[in-house]
Amino acid sequence: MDLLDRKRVYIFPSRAGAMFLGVIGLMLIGAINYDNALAYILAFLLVGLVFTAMLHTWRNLAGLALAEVEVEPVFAGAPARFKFRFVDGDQRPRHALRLRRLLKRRGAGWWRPLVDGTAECATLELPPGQVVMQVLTTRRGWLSLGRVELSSRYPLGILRAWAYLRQDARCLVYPAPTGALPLASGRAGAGGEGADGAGVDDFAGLRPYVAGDSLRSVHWKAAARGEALLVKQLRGGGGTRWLRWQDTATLGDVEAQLSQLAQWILMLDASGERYGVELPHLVLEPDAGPVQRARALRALALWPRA
Amino acid sequence: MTAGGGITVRELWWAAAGVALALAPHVTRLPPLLPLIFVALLAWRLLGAHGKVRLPDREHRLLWLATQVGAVALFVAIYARYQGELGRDAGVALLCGLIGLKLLEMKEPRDFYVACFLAYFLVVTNFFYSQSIPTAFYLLGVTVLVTTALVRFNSPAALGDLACLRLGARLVAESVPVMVLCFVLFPRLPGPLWGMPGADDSAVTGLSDQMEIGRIAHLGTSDEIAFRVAFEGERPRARDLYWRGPVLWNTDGRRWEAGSIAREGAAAVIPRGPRYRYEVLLEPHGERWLLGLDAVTAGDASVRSSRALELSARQPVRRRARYTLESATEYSLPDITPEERQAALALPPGAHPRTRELAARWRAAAANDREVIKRALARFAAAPYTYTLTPPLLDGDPIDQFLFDTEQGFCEHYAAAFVVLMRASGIPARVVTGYQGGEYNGVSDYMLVRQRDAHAWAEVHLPGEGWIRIDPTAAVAPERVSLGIGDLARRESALPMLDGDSPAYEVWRSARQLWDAANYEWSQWVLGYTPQRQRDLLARLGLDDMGAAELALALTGALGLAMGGLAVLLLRRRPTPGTPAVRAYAAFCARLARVGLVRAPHEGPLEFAERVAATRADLGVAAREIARLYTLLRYADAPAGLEALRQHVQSFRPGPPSS
Repeated sequence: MDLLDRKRVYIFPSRAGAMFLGVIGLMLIGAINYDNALAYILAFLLVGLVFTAMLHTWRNLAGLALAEVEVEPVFAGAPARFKFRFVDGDQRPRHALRLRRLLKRRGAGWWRPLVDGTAECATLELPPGQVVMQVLTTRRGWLSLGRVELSSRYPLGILRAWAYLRQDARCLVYPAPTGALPLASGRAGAGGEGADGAGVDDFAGLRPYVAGDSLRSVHWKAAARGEALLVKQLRGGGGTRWLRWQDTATLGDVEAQLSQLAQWILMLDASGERYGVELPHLVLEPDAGPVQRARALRALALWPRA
Repeated sequence: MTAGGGITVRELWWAAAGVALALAPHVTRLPPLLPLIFVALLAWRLLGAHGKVRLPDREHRLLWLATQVGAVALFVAIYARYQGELGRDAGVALLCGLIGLKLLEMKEPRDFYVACFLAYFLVVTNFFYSQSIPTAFYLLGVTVLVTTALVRFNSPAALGDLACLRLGARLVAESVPVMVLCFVLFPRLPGPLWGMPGADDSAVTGLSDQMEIGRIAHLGTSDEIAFRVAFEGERPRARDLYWRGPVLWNTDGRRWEAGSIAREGAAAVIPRGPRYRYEVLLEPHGERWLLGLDAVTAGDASVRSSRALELSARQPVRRRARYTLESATEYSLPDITPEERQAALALPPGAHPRTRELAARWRAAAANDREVIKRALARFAAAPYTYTLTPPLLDGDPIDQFLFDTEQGFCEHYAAAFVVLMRASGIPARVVTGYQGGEYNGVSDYMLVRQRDAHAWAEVHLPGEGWIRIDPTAAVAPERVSLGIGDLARRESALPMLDGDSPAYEVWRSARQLWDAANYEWSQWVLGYTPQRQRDLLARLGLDDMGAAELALALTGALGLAMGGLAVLLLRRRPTPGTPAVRAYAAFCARLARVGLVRAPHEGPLEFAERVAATRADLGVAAREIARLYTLLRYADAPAGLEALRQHVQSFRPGPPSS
């Protein structure tokens, strides 16, 4: 939980605000020169407006707290969707919020906004208090959000309040699933254990459900009878496929090889087959389902860069 | 639908409304074509925003070029119209053209801000023409509108226009305390920073330092305010209310004027009876003379007095003038120089033969000056002479014609004829112009003198007595002096609805008094808030002898206080609805939120307490106990322990995280 208390919300006139102050100055000069009471009054009213707007702009951010930043892994090239979830102790509507990623200038002491990675939020609805920031991904691996600034100019636009959100959110970026190689027919497992490997074809029995099992293999009829969740175990006719590093060796480029493997994983996952992954110095035992898919893709994403 | 760039049609309408209404009072002051051009530009922009016509984008090169040329032509035309003189009128015309073009080319957010700020500026320019109460409130409304345009521009589209308007009004209302503080405490600099605008700004109305028969008739019915007087203590009697203005010595038979007589030197007034101290708030009349209750014995340093007791200012009065005087209504003014005696006896050679003949007869028959005066007044009081505001025209020798033929006139006729009679009989005499009477306003305790109260009377110099005021009009129409010309005029106009005694008239009269009292306070406290008045007010608050630096310091302090108050108001948490238990628990959560532990919406009380205990071991025990009590109170069959919960919450004061 990251509460934006009063010490962490900064405020300063925006460019429009600087112009506004200039206008007030001109009005005051006119008021003094013509000794015009109502011109004084309007100038002072606008001075008051600056102060009032300052409080309103500041309170539009203050008291908000960042509860968490959620993000699902994505494939490179697709936008990573960082979901900022805010909670609000004061339960006030917050308007015209803006989230921006900032990047530290190399060698310089200041931050500049990144072109990529902004999110506008017209009004923060509480709950869910969620703002989604999309960040384009280009490379596999961890995408760190970096410094994020929450800002607002509501209600007059003459002042900008901002705060830096304390978070260390990062998104796992899988290699883009591309490639033209046909799926290798590596049926014989590296360990030769294809004989008892679970598959998708023949029913082999039931076992208790564990988190991560595919919902398609849950024995729903038994569940409907009120029994514990059971998972149908199938004995695949074809057994296990092995996705091997050397099968993609013809591509030559490490990134292309990883992309090809990712594509194969998606294909096999879609058909519900069991598969294992064999990379240099890393072997993933054959399995099927979302857990296996996530494990395999993660391994590809974090594979050391060339 | 967007109106091009990041500006939506709705935002555009708000800004356009603000600008148009800020400009509206200027319409009659601008060259007639300019408002039409402005309306055309505005209509073009709005129709364009709705997609009905094409806007001059850069993509439509020809159209764009045409508007550029048109803009240059407009500014050249404005420059030519005002002959290159950048005064107030030219400035407003320029601003009007500028803002119309800005609205047309508005595209980027920056343009929107510029348009709104120009609208604020347009509001200020209105004050250089009028500072009346209705103007002020109208333009306050416009200010709210322009502020609303800014709010609209910065608010999500889901927020309704009415909500934006409400927020705009609220922002302006919340700015009022700062405005008042700044207004009261901001160090006032006397005098203009550069040359004042020309004399074009105040129309000269009222009295003049010349008198020609028929000239004051026009004033007799003018309700315009001449000046207001606030007496410090008692007020003089109504019949003593002679407000002295310019004294006229020279005449060519028809026209009277001050002439070239020496004015320097103090008049030797010997006061008798009570003195009255009072403050005069004089409406601008563009001349230098000031008015004072006859006879002024002392006054401000800024007020100069002549030998004939005429008061004058150093500069022509182009804005409301305020000065303090002291007068005695019973006095003697014995002094007369040979030059003055000569001027007070001079008559144009050959003029007024019948009047001179009458005067010669009186002179021969009378034992002394007093008797001549008595005869003259008796003649006016006798039958054929009548007092009227609509006398016949005098095309021959005006004095002779008036005295012997028409025998109808008002104060000028009587005063002039009387002075001519006196001079013809060898008694030094002069015409004094000014105002007579005044309407007392009980609401704000001051006397109001209108232009229609303008009056003329005579002064004669008698040996051993000095200058004595003789009001021949009083002999003809005593009620002119005792009632005042207002009632008299009403009697003559014979409007049955506004009969002097009818209740409707009384209501109308008191409403008018109330309105005028408001105007008076407005000019006293708002428009006339001078450095002097600022010092007085601060002295009354016990803050005397404040220099500009101390004032600035006081202002900063006061502003800090005001902002603190406003912050408390704004950041105050809404009272939590629900049962006492819910409220106590909400207070507990609020305290935790302040140290960074915010309860997530999905977290139950017990779950939250566990998280608190896990993060902050020092708070664990208390948090668990509060959660237990709260759960019992809300969900148990037999709720109990509200007092315990309250006590626990009361003593729950989480400090900052120890790490």
